[in-house]
Amino acid sequence: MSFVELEVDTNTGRVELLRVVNATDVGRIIDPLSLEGQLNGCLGSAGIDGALWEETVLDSGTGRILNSNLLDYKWRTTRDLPIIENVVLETPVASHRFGALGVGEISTSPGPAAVLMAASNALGVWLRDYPLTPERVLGALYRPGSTLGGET
Amino acid sequence: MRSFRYVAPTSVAEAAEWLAMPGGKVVALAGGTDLLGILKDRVHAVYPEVVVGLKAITGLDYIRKESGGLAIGTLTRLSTVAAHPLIREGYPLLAQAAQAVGSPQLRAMGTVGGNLCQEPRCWYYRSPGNHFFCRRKGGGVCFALGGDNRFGSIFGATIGRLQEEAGHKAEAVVQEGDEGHFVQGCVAVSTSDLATAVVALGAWIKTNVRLIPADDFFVGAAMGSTVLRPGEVVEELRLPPPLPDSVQTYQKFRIRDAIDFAIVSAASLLRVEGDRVVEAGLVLGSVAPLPRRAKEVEAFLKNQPVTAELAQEAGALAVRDAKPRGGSNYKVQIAAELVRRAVLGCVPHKRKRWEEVRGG
Repeated sequence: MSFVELEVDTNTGRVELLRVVNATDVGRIIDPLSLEGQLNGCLGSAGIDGALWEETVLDSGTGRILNSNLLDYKWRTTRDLPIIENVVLETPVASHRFGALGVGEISTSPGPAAVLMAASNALGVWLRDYPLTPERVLGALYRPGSTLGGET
Repeated sequence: MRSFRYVAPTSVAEAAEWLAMPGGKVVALAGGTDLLGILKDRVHAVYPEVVVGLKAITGLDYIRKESGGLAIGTLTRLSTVAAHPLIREGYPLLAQAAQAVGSPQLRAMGTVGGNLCQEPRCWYYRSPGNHFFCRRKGGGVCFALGGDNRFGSIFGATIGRLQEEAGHKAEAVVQEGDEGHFVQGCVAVSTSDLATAVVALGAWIKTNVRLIPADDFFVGAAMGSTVLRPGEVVEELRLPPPLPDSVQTYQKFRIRDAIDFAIVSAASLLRVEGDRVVEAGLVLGSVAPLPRRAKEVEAFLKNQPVTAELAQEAGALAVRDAKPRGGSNYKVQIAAELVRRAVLGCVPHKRKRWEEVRGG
């Protein structure tokens, strides 16, 4: 599972990841360095950045991908990483070779849900669409009837 | 990448001769950080036959004091501008803007002239293989108008039909608030960080034929971003005498801090005496086809005491005439907020350090 701490700037819609804690049971650790790499890799395309940045933009008229480059398709560089901590449990699984469990998918899956719930929690508005761009955050805040818009 | 002829003139006059070749068949290369990508992706309908490398011209890479101000050679690297003591002290706005460009590698290659003259960013315009032959390239329509325009202009589109018109500002200015020109024009924005800063600073751009105020250098022409004519080469950026005691900030709102273009940027220069604003310069970037000087806000701030209310009103005033296109609606709120922060003198967003997060 993943815990996410973030800040939302309600004036610009910017979401800032502060801290991520991943916790998982891996059965048995075989290669500690690879394990840590996998857990930190939850920030990859299927994980947390699917929630905030990464998006394939299609032109609705032609179906053509508009951001098929690594500038317009937003991937995270090391400078933009939050603080990542990992909590690892070991409960060897008898039915698996070496007693080990897979960790790659496990670490990525909770990311988007955790980020969206953290942001929803911060704003008091349910956010259901990702990536959670400034456009979407401001759209949710300034939705007609919302009491949050206009506050500074 | 297709083959082209590369020439490396050793003087500006010689480069100008090459660049006078008509019909988009020739391009100038300084740092090449943007141009080579454009060539590799075959972005344009017309592929240049000649690439004129300016790097062999000596004496265009300098920063020196001149008539009270500062002169910066066109081939000066952005990393040099960002780090130079004279610029950091006298023109922090420019240093911050240069530092905000791209990544360390790009700043080490990219030049002042190249950044000022860069082509606009629009994913239709820059689609590989010229897939969208858009208005900006001489085609009939702006695809971003009816498509995904989340990064597009919120202050009107460009008019002007031919490249030749770019030299005549009167015919090629952005039509603000005129819905008709949205239908005809291009909504790509000027994303140059330096452009926004130099307009706010009231700088001049010196070419081999004339000296142009930065305010007049950038245009919202259909097929050009500057008033440069064929055969014209930017030689120097000239800054006016520094304004001591002014608070200068360059704010760049973007998705990714490490390397990204601005969604909205704001260059501000405020001089406050006592509690009152005596001088205000405010320019917004990435909101219009050219850097947009917020004249009404500058006038509004004069002789006013700086308060939270004043900042809020200045923000609202800056976007009063905004005409976003659906997808770019959110940029209006961000632009207003950057102006508010500029007036308050807020420090742009900083990432929290480990200790702060742990402590909290």
